[in-house]
Amino acid sequence: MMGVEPIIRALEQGADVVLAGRAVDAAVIAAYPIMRGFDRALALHMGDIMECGESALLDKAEVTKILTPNRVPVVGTIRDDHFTIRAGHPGMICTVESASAHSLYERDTHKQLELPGGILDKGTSRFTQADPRTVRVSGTQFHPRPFTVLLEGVQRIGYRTIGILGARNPRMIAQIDEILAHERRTAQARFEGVGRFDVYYHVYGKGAVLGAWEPVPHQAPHELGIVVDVVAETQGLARDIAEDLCLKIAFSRYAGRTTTAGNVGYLFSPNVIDVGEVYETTIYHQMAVEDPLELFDVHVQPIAEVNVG
Amino acid sequence: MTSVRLEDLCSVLRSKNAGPFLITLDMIFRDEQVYRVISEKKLITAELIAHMYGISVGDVVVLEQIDHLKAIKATIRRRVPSGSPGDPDCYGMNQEGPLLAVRFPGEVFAGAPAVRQG
Repeated sequence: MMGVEPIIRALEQGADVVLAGRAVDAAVIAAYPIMRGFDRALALHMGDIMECGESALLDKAEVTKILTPNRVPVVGTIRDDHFTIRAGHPGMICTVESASAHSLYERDTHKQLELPGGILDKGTSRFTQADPRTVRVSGTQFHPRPFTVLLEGVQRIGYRTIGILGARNPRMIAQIDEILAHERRTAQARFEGVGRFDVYYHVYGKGAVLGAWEPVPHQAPHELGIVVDVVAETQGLARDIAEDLCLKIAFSRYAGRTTTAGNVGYLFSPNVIDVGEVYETTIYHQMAVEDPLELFDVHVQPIAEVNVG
Repeated sequence: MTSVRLEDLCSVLRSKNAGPFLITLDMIFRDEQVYRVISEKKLITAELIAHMYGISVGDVVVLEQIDHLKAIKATIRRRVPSGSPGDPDCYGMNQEGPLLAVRFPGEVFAGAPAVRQG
């Protein structure tokens, strides 16, 4: 994930538009003021607030309802010792709370942000309301440290096929955990030696969303949604297992069963969906680099003018 | 005894991924006085978060009180990395559920008129 340096290099070479690979959110906005010599801490903090646009603003006139979300620009102005944030629409305002609350978003801590080449420290920042629509920010610090680039990597671990089943029969619902576990075991035995695979169930209505974190004791709901989720080393194997497993669940002979024509509703026919490749995060690492540009090639090229109409 | 639900005290009560291995929980309170009671009496701690999620205190990696935002932020380790097989919530957007069960005794907010009790 690049910082400001490759973007600055492109701008210095005269680029009007920069198409960057994965970059730190704040760097996209901070690159230009840093290139022009403004304070790195303030520029990055300004970028950090502005990167999600209107989410740093308060909507006072239902502007986002009319314009639909993500249409209103936020305007940042940087000076030597502070920057200001204001809304790009008269129906919206920027407040101390709206500007600073964005520091919480998708971060493990609000105080510090680990960036290439240092830590952005917002612990000493001062937010004041400059006018009813504008917030002024100063005091942010940047603590330089050896340059690193966040390296994010995934590995393909297989292919997924899913089936979506609905259960409505109370006797089946009462025994669903045992039924699903039993059919998983029989699938594992049936496909043993054919290839590597794993079976996951997502039982909506019975703790699918929170899993082990679910605090509400499971009461028998009147309906369950079951996603049968098979990850195997080939797409063909995942599909074969998912098809077979859905069929076995549909005809599982549980205690007290009366539904001999099928136990569940198949949402679709054909009843399984190939989802494709499955990846897992394998690298998430701040990698030390000597030169901020060494991993990023910058090419500037003219694009032909196009006459419209 | 009357009690007050955490959810009813918050304008924001949300969860989201913070990188592939963490989920962060943001609690922004509606009322300054209520926030001050909760932060001064330390009613929300790493121990409480660990208890609600059934995890060890060591898996609560951040717990911070952010006075200027009337906010408390907790960050916990994911059960499985984001998007790995078995993960039911790739972006961690719906993992606030256990916090909905948090309640406080009503009397701790005595004098905070903004608190409705029930």
